[in-house]
Amino acid sequence: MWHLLVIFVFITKFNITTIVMKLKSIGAAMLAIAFFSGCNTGGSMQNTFYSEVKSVNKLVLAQMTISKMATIDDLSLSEAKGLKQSVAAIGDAMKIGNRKAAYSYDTYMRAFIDLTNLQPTDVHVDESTKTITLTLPAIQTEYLGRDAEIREDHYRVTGLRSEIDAEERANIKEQMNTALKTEVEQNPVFRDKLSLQARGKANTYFSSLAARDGYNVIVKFKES
Amino acid sequence: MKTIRLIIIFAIVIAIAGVVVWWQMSPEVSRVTMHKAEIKDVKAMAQLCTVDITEDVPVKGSVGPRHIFARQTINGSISFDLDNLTMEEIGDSVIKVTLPPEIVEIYESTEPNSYVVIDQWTDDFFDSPNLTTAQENAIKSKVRDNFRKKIYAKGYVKRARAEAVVNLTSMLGAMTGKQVTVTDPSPAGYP
Repeated sequence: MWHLLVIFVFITKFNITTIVMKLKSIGAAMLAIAFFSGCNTGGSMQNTFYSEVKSVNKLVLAQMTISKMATIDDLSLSEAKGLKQSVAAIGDAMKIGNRKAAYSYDTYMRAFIDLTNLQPTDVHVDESTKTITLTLPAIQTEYLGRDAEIREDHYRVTGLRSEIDAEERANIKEQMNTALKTEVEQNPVFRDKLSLQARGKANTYFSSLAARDGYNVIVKFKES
Repeated sequence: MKTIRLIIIFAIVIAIAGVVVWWQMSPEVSRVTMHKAEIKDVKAMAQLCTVDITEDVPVKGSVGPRHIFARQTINGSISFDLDNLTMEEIGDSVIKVTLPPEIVEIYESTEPNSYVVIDQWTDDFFDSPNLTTAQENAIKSKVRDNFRKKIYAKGYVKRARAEAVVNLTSMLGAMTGKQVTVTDPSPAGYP
């Protein structure tokens, strides 16, 4: 069997990593065939495509760019906690080569007021003092989205280690997304900074609008 | 003799149970280290957003013999810059406003499972099916460009501009107390 493998490597002139990956793929395919032949397929729910187009009336006042980074590296025995990680660390130490990478991407948040909630009574004009008191709807924040592309800040996979493929990158991005959202929820600094900027912008924008006619503007915000 | 055997069996069972409990209690293996999120920038703006789009799109692309098929959830947003509005006062009571070009922003959604790789394969038996990050990014970039074209083709921009005219008229009218006329020089947008 080993002789055959050596000849196979020699003939194909491909590196060991490619061969190992190919064998892994064949093994995975065989497992999949064995699995699916033994049970009825339920159908993939991931193939359901969703589409929604909605009309909104948002006045966007600030946008924030948040960067998130994650690194992939082998587990070291000194840092391993518990049995599972220790076993994995020993396994990693026995592997030939390195597998290190760093990925990052940006996520965008925006602060806005929903103008559909603006009532005629929210604008009060005092002609005697030339003052407009404007009570704006509460500032809301939302995720606008994230970069589709992922930045590869570092990549070093050597020896017999498997390459980092698209599926693994997608999984890492998913983990980064979850971690980022948790951080934003737990740390009010993110939303506070964004809301502060939005309040300032609302003040300057509406003041400049009314200043054309010589009015002063007092901007207030409703409670969320 | 029998008692000793029972003790040994009991000890082995206890040891196995201990290892199983230790295994179950130990933290999961993860080779991914998360770094703290950092605020890159915060910018103030005044943009009127009139249409939000969320859509699942297939991501299908090839680089040589290597192929990928994935599903991506995209967030699209059509807005108008109010900081640089052209406003012309006609007399004391009428303001004429020209609707500016739309700002179309397209991002991947932050909802869970917004990018799922369904399949990746190669036509060459001896080649790896793996796409590099740069190759995958280039495919995603094409998908975004196609989605932008689709936004125009499906009339979403036209709809956004029409709604911006209505929304801007009522907002500026309420703020200035004047009659506001918003004109749209390009109802189909600026593709």
